[in-house]
Amino acid sequence: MKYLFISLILSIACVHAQEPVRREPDLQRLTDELIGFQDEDLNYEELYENLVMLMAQPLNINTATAEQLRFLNLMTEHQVQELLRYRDENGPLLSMYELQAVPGFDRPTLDRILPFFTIESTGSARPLLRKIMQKGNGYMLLRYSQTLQDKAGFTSEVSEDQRFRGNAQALYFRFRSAVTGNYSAGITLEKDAGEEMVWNPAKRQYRFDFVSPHLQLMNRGRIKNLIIGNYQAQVGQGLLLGGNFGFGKGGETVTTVRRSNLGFLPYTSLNETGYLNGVAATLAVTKNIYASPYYSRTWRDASVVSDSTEQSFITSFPATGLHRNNSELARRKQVSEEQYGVVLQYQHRQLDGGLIFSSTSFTSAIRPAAQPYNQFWFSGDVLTNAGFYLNYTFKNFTFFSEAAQSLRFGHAWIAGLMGSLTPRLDMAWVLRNYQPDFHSFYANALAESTRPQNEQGIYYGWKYRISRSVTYAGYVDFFRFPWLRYRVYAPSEGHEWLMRLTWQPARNTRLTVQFREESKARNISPAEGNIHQIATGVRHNTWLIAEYAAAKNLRMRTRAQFSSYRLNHSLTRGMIVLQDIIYESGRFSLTGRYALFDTDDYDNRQYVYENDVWLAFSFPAWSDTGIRSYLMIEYDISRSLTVWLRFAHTSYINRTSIGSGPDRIEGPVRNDVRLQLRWKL
Amino acid sequence: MNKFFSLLNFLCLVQVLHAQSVYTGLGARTEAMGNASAALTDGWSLFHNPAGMAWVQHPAVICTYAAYPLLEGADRLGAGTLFSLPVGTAGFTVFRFGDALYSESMISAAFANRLGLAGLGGRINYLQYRAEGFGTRGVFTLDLGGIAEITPQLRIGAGIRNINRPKLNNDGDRTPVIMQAGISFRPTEKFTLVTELFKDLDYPTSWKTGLEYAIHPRVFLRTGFNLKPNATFFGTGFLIRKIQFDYALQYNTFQRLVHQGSIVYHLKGT
Repeated sequence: MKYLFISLILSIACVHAQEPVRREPDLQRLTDELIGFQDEDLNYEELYENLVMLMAQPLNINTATAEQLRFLNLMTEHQVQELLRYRDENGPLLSMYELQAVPGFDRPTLDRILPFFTIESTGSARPLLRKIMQKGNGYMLLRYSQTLQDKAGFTSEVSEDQRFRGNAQALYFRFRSAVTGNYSAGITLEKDAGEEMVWNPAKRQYRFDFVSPHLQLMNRGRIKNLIIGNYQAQVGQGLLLGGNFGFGKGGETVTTVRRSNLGFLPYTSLNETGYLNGVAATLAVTKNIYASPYYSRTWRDASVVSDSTEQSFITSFPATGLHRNNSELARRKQVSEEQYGVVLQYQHRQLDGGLIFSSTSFTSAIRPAAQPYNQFWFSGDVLTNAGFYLNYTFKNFTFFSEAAQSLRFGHAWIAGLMGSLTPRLDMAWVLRNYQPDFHSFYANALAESTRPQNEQGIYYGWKYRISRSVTYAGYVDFFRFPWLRYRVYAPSEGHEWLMRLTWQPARNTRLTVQFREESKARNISPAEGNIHQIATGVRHNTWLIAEYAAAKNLRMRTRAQFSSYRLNHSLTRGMIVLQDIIYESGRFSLTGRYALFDTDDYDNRQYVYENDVWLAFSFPAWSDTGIRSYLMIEYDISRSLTVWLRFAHTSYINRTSIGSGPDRIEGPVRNDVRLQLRWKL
Repeated sequence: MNKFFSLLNFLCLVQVLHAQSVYTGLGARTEAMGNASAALTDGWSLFHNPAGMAWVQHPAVICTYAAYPLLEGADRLGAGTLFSLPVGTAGFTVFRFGDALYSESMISAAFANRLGLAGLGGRINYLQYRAEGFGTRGVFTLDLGGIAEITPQLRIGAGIRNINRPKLNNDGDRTPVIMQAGISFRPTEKFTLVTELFKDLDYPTSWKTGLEYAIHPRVFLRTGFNLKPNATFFGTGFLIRKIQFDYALQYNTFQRLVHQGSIVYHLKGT
């Protein structure tokens, strides 16, 4: 009754009141909140791009499913359930302001989620082509980047095989038009610096080195989803079908460990590996049962060698996406990968379960060069996997799980529980067990390693809102590796914990302190012979972050990061300190940074998020001693045309060159420029 | 062969224990919550921070058994009773660790009382070490503890074991002083969170955390973890009439799995 009254008032008020202005999400703050730290070679850039591409299409607050709400990682389970209950009891929200009447939604939550939601209904019955051309649904993007210093690959210093064939410009073009829940169409063209633009269909190159189109239709009768072209999948907890969507362990300690069951999505990233290409469809068989068959055929970069019997096999899959010189081109699109499978989903109220089957085959067999640690890695030319997932929500808790078996090989499972024990306290608890011989090429399940393989673990995460402005969050993760790993030549164990205290006295002011410890085994170099010993390496990280509004249009951000790494009685340290300035005024905005970094070694490299042009993401890691600065200008030339210009400068103290091999730059300085134009159609 | 290894294990253990008694904190409920017992107030306070007894209102008889399947001779047994006096709560316990080759036995008397928002408690133990061929050795030890109720949801507790540090032998080895300090947080009736720092001077500081959730007023789920040394804990408890059954499972690298089962018989109430 109370809510009815509030919504009545709101609906009256809203007849005249305007909707809150949707702002672009503050990516740097989101990064800090969701990722917390970056130290493994995970593809954060792709992960981020994926997330923002999805976020760029605002969800309708009245039709978003629980799974879509959770995917944003911005709401607690309590808030998700309260919103669903509120919609059930009071009907659709009439204004975004009405969210304030939903129990459990406080002002900070509203500020965080507003950029990702809309109240406007999106379904319309116009023909597709006209919708694509319709105003406001699409954009075109053109980006140009160049490093001003010449890399060795452009000069005659390197051998013919290493010499770059193309020019030093990186070019990128994207067209995308989409309406959430209705359709998406797009194409991405890219050429990295040094890559040659040639038309050579025999070598599967069509001027640009990377061409990625897609067309998606949604909610046409029984066809819930249909994608043709490049796509990716996120099913269950990502043991078998996982795109780059899950954040895993990070500063947002509770919500990020659960993967959302999103199904099949268009692939729009610039990463040239890890996508599917073909057709995927989701069909409603009955009201509760959905079938999603998919088929994919792609050419993969691979190192292919022949043995004495003239049989060729694959030793590795390079993932750089760079094809600049003959030695890189020799690996370009060398093998064909064919994959097919089906997901059968049953969804009824709070229960979401499914069966997954997938089979992948390669034109050549995979046979990694034998090493002690890769005894259980996949070898062969066909991999068939079967598994199931089960998600169930009760009250303020959600249970999630997935189990999978590689035919003729091992199995893996993950299960977890996440929920709000009280409206102020959220917890997550995840168990995982991945056998050393479990294989999955498209996995992104929660793991300490980059792949869900050879690992057992238990994760405890918590987040407690001490008061309106103070939040304490943390996690502890224990893991065990039953078999050897790269640089760890014995079964090993370890742990990791993180704690974060955030004080946000006002919307634009936020102070964060964060600590992390990671304890993990590593080989120590033998003094003589080749018998490795392992020792426990302990890494400590400290972050101090302050954000504040210095004036109406001026925001500042100060950040200091410290790290130390202790292995076998040697202690090394690293740090970075930086100052950001963000000035916004009408159609013009300016972002700048000045940073100093000083690290003893690569183990103490410092990852920091950098502001970049729209839809570009930088998470560079800095090691050695030097200065990093950048300046970026964004200007709206007209309502539909926006231009970005970015200049970045890096200089090292005590260095005579940067990089190695064909990437080597003579001298201690590197400057990069980037220009981007966006035309909203 | 197995026998040989257990003997070897055992000898190592004795070596380690040369100057260090085994930890005498027992109870499947506490164990399942990672042994973060500094601010816990139940019958198992008899074996942990004695101040917790001050909150126990009804007399009870408790007994527990901890099994170490991979470490022969390391099982532990504990039993006790506690009851209210005109002033405060008192209790007695017996504890035994080991087998015919090596054992530690302990009998204790404990007392605790409420003083305003705080509870204070103490315990006197007679601890006897016995090693086959080396005879026996007995010492008295003293433990003290306090718990303060800051708010109805939040309690802070601290305890010190072996505060008198009696000599164990003529080499100057003494029973180790152990200090624990932590909180228990109970935001709702259903949910209890405990966390503490635990320091034995001979080892790095441990961080222990645990939680209990009542899925039904008489059914409990528990879990916890320790860092340094690392261990994870799981457990469950049922209250059937006046008898509470608890089970705890611990996983750690050295002993792999440790099981503990406990029974609490409440003579009144619940």
